[in-house]
Amino acid sequence: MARNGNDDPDPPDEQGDRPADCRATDTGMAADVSISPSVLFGVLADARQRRILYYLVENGGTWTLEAIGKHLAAWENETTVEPTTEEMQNRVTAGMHHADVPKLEDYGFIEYDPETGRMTYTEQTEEIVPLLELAEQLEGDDFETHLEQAHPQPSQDSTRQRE
Amino acid sequence: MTGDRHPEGGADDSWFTYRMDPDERPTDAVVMAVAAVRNVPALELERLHDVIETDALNTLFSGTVESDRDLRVQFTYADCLVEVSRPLIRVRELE
Repeated sequence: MARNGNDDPDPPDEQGDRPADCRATDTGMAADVSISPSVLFGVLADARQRRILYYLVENGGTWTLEAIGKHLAAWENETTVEPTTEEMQNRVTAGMHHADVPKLEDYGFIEYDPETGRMTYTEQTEEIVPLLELAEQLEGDDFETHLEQAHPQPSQDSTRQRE
Repeated sequence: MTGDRHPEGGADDSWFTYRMDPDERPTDAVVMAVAAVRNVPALELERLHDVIETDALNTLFSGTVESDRDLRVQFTYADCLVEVSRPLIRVRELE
């Protein structure tokens, strides 16, 4: 597999309609991110795994598997939280517990207690927030809407200051 | 999703057959099918991630194209023999 030597990160052409705060290149991405790009982008390549990280970062604090599963079920079934069935929610919650959450944990993005189902994001995740924000903007769906509906009470530590 | 204990091709009714929806995540489906066979809540099964490379399974069976139909992966999990193809997952309890 020959690489043409052309793959260094050319500065992207200015895209005038993009707000300045989403340019990962400008954000001083922490130099001490200790994971490899392959691992990082492997996680971000998976829609469910990156959405778990969006949820945790946007809402801050500690969340249960069930709470996140409920919102991912809504997103994955392209609906809002209300019409999802318990079966959909159980399936996503179980799938997260069995596959996605352990992977995020193995790679150091979250801490998870399988007994209580509680999880929280780590400093490593904090270091990749610029990439998460960029990825989220590229989603082109209304996952943000799901996040906003995530919980009726204002989040204890609102990190949503971008708008 | 649909799960049925019925003989595929009439051969052997010890297999539980689960039909995945086209957009269903294979690892979700495996967990739900095995939980149904074992008759336990899915969250109480040993973690699938500790047994197989879950990302690899999802990647192998993420497509819906018919050319995937010859692909078949078999492994043991939670005292069951699990066979994943698309769209069917077959599960048989091991003695």
